[in-house]
Amino acid sequence: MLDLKSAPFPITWRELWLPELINNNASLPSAISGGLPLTLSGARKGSTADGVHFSGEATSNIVVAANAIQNAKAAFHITLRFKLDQAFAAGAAADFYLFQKLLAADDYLRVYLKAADGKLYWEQGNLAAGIQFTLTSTTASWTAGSWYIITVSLTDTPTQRLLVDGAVEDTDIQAAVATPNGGDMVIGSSSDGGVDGVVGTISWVVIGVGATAAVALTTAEETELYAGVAPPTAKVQYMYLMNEGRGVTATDRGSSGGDGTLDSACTWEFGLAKVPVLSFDGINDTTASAASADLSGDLTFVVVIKARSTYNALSARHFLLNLWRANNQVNQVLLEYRPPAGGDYWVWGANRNSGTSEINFVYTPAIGDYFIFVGVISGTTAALYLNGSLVGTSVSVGPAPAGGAIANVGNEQANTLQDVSSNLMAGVIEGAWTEAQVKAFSRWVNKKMNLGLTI
Amino acid sequence: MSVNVAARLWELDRELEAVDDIVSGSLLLKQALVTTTTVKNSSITLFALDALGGAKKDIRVEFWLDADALATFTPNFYVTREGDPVTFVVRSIPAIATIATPAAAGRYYYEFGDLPEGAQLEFRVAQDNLGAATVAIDGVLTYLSRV
Repeated sequence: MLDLKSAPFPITWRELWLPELINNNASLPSAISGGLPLTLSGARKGSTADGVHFSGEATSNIVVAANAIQNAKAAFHITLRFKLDQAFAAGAAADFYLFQKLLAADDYLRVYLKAADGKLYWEQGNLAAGIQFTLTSTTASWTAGSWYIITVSLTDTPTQRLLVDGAVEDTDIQAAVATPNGGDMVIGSSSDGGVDGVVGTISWVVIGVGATAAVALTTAEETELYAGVAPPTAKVQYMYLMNEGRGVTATDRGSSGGDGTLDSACTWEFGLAKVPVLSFDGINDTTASAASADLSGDLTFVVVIKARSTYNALSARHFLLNLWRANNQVNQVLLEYRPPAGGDYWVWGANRNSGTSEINFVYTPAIGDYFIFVGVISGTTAALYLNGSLVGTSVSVGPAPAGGAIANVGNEQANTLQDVSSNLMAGVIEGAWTEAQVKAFSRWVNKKMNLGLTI
Repeated sequence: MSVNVAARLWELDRELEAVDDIVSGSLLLKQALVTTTTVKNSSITLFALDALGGAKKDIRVEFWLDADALATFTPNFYVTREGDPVTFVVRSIPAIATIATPAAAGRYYYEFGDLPEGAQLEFRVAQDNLGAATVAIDGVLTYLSRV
């Protein structure tokens, strides 16, 4: 048996947050005597689940009950990230439904892979007029085990759009028809009880529905969705991270359109790692401690992350970890992603007492990748490590007063610049680790959590 | 760097990896620390623990509860079960006695045992509808965990 403070070598933690201790999605206690708990606002417990697996059976679907939020609305968009168990192309045995909102046989919205030609279809039924519009992908072959992100939309401008992996593959301007004025939304199948559902895993669903002026996606927002980042909350009425890992509820992380209910044949799919995480929607979830954290002296930061974005040319900054003295960015230590205007890279920054030190590092993970960032401040020098390897150093870090700092995991101060990725561990350590210590700790965490990294 | 030095460094790296393998198989002693208050006519969750990543063993709770000569407090362990991983039910074995009208601050200690992989645990403290609106309580949860 080992004390966590001793593995894999003696560690004096200043702060340590372990998601397995999240309490009613309201707080995350400290795992260290004298440490600070985090208050959670929107951020909640999730898991390293890769998503929900669907089998195509009648009881393999997620139902989101119909309500006024989604009924008879002028604009609609849905983004799904999915992978198939087997390859799909023309001549497949059956269609694969990813989504449908069905009120009647001729009144529906549906997204499905068509067996006859292997393409993705985005269609709306229009009562007596038959099919109002049909958009089809140019992609006609889908590789087993590969993740795809598709976005389809309609507005009353009118416009209809279909994107596959960030590329526009079809558009139209058919006359506008509102969303069905009833009928549940069903994810993973054509209906509750349908036997034409997708056979594969869905890991993320984002739905916006409402007035065109309020929810219509810009092209920049379409690009961000492909990078794993949802648009602002006003355009996201429903969002399912599919990372609960247990139970029959897909929690709605949008603006409260409604949770989804998993039918009995749905299963939670995990990869190597199976642990709780601190989960963020990237829209408005935040965490914060009391103003008592200490960012003075030599110290080391650790964050263990499961990426939910590629962090590639995003439009906004996203913070993984931030310690700052209130209203005083002269004393701040941070780990953030900066968009192209600021460099399009990760920044390990130590702004202390007017001594500003920043390390800039380009790193674009794949969605679902695990990574371990360790930041070290030793005297006036800062160093950044990724998965146990040094990626940058900088000098001119100034001294900082002890105490009085607020700690944020997953956002910057004032509850802004939220991140989207899942946090498996975050901590602040007394003293500056050596390269050997960083490698040993990274290797140890990798093995303990079974992340599958090569360190 | 000479070949001998490089070779020795490689050997040391392999030895370190072997040590990591041994350490990785060990159980870790972990803890959570909370300072909060009870709430009159309500129940608070003092601690929560999720065994999604693997069983948690030897779970113990110790807390310091301030005095309140009018209130009665009821601590209990709640857990989920394999067939229903999100619904918490009382499972304190043996049953936990209430803390009736404590005239002085006191220290209380409880052992739960093991939480199987996939289950969740909550340690809750209820206060009846008597006494102060809030009563100070601080505690520590300790447990063994592989991950």
